Amino acid sequence: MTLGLVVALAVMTYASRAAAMVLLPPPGPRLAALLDRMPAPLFAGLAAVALIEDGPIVAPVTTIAALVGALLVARTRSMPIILAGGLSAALLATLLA
Amino acid sequence: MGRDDRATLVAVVPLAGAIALFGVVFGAASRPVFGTGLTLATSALVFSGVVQFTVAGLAFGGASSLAMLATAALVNARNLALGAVLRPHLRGGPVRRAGLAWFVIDETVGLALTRRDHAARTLLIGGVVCYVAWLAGTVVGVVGGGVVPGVAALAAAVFPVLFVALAAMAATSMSLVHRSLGAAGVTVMLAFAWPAGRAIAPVIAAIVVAFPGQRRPNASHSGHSDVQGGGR
Repeated sequence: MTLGLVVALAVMTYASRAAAMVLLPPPGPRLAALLDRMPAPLFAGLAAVALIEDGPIVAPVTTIAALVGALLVARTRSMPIILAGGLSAALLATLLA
Repeated sequence: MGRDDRATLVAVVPLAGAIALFGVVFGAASRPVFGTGLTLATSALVFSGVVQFTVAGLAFGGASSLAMLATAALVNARNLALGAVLRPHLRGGPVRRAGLAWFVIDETVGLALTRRDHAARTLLIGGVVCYVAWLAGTVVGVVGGGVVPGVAALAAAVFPVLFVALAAMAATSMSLVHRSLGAAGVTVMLAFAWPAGRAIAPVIAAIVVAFPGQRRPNASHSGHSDVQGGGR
């Protein structure tokens, strides 16, 4: 690993962030509707992928418990409540394990 | 500082806390591989947990620079989707958007999409706080890596919870709830079938479930549209 490689990674990462935000024109109605349907599924996917670690193997029981606890209170659509639900379930799983 | 900015700061605290935890893990895990200077430089210049952990893992395994760059390009593909999703909610010229692009990470985009009327300001405030948290966490990890086993377990449990919360806040209709559940299922299947593509599996799944169009308003009984804002 060299500083040059770090800089190359930084440039590549920034370019991937800026490409769509700078170069894309404002989307038309159909594309805008499609893009508006993506955030919730995208974040659900990011939550789901945390269940699978490299290997692939399933995540530790505390992670699974946190996810279940968060899902149980997800209907509230409140960040603090969902965080509390998830972390409480993780803590409970840790104590029981 | 206005009321909206204070609300953004309150909302970003749990995200920044989780990011700081992962920064601690990254700092402690990378120092033996990269050294102190390069570990700190990586966090300061790249500001991407998924890229940095992936590259550190490859470096630990003795991968070539080309392999690291190629893998980073694949992992970074999801930033294109995040930028595209956020773009319709950002006003201003290309220079302003180019500056904001620095702060495009999963968590800040999720937060900005829950405040679509103030998406740019939310991205800026959330991004600055998360960047500082990431750097601070890395420094703590580099200096005091001995606490890492407990921190790693906590960080691993916190992130899925945060993403469930962001998904719940963004799912403003039953149709979006169904699409989210579908995306979770598709992501798990993709991650098992293609472990190397795990980082972009959520993007592929989100695109797949977003394509089927919504029903016409007069065919819906819910009164909600797929395209209404998150509004929180």
